Amino acid sequence: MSVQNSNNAYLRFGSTQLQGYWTEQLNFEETADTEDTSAGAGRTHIAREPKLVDNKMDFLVIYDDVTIAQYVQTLRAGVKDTLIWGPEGNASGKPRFEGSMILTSTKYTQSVDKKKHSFTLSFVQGDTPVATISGGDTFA
Amino acid sequence: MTAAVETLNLIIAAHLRNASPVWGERVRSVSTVEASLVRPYVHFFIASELNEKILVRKRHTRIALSVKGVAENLGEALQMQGLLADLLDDSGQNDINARLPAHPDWAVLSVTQGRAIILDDFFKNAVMIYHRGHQFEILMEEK
Repeated sequence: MSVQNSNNAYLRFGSTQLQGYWTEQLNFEETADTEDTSAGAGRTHIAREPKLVDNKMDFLVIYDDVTIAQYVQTLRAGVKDTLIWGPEGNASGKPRFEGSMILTSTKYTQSVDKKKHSFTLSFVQGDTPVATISGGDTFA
Repeated sequence: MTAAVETLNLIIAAHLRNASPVWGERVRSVSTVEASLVRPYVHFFIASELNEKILVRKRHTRIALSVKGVAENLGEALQMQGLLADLLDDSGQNDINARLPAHPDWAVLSVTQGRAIILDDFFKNAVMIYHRGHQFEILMEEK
């Protein structure tokens, strides 16, 4: 085994691979809110049940003036498509997340002190994922 | 592939050589300056180099480059400081006034003028030598 500190991520939204333009970091969050199900007299503690599972993801894509035409169409907010992410690349047997996601926000930054330009892409779940990291799914 | 610092040495030398009649061809990196070189001349050297991880599959490096004029009177040294700033500040390919020579291995993305170099030293026979210039922050990308 080895503790992962790799940046060998695989990222695809729709038909466009984005790992070559990915910069800084990506954030993935699987959440489940809870519902208070406490009922009956004499209870001393709250009881809860988990609600439906949600997935969110955001990551940054660089502005590369030579290649941006190859991926700029992917940066349009409001698009629902398949997002595939492999934290260890997409080799057979490596962990895989795949699901329908909606790109809800594309945020662009430029600064006068010459920091790199990047797009921050934010996704929310569009439907039940086909494959999840926590579910043990892998690339074929 | 040429190292980034070597590439930058070549680019800076080519850009500054004969760029002004004040120093003519007398532009030297730290490893090529000779003791007999006639003043005024331009002297440049790498102050630091740091790898900067921007993309997974492409190397970037951020270099601090010191560039100064060396002259025997203060007025000439200050004139060179201004001329060198005119020649180098914002000269990278992503800057507002791109004008550095191209290189097949590395691109100079940005050149930003930083802190000033102010140094006066006594030479032999109590001759004062004036060093004036700037340190430039340079971001480079492999091609």
